[in-house]
Amino acid sequence: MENRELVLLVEDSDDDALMLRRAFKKAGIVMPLAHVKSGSQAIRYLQGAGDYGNRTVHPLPKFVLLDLGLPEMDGYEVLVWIREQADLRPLPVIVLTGLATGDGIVRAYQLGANSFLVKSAEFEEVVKMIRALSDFWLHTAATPVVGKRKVQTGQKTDPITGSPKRRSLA
Amino acid sequence: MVEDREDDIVLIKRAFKEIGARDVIRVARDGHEAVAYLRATVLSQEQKRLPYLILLDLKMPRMDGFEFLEWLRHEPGLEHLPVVVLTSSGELRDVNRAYALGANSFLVKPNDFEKYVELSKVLARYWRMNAPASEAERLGQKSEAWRGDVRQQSNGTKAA
Repeated sequence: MENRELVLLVEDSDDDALMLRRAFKKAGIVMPLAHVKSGSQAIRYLQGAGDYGNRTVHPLPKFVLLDLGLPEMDGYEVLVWIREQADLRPLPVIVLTGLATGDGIVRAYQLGANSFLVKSAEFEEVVKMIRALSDFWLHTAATPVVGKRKVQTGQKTDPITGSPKRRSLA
Repeated sequence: MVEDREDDIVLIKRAFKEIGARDVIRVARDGHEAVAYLRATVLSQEQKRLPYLILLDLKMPRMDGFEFLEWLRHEPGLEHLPVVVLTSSGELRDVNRAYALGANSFLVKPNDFEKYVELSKVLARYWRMNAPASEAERLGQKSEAWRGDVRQQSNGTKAA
């Protein structure tokens, strides 16, 4: 079983990442926050590629906090990639973005986002949100344990659920 | 709420009342009833009657929670609705399976009323902060930030 006592933050803005770190601290959350700045870096982290191969130092996260407006590969693409990985399919992904449109919300949920939060520009509001997030995800909800599983190729059914594979929305 | 056990229905309703939540809780007794309700809602184009959250039990007669999830996640117009599983077993196998099938989150039923109240509080506060997927389509192309609406909702005004 993987150590997963960590939150993975995918956020290209250092300012926003710093604000979240401060909000985590103010909300009294002791769980570490690992920060990656792009979609491709998030994927490398989740794959355990290169420097991320050491799972003691870089454990798989309890959940992912995902910004949508990322350079090159955006948040939706990261979401699609995560949901295509058999071993990461159950991993909770919480969208945390500065701006939301009706279409964007629906699309994120369709692609498999677990939750969609809109970040306020005001620090106190962010703290309030992070507190509610922590109360729910860290202290109340049961979360899955994800990690590498031996996946046989050519399987028509999902190795975790035993059900026919879910439609790809890519 | 998709739940077959009368005791649990009463407990959740009482807990929501206790925390002052004015959400309308509509109950479907199994997956089939939930499917029928949601299909009728889509056909009547009454987006307002779509839930902002579905609380889903797993063990139910006829169509269980897993089957319901599979149906919902392949149903155009409904596939995006948030589902929080609320069930008596927290076995990791069930937890992983529910998330893999597209559950948004997973809660284990508490064993006394006090804990139901606490759970309802945390649940309501958190999900009201989420941008409402059930209303997103109705509000359509609006490119405004959701902040205002979200804040209003987190202050305890109606969210259903």
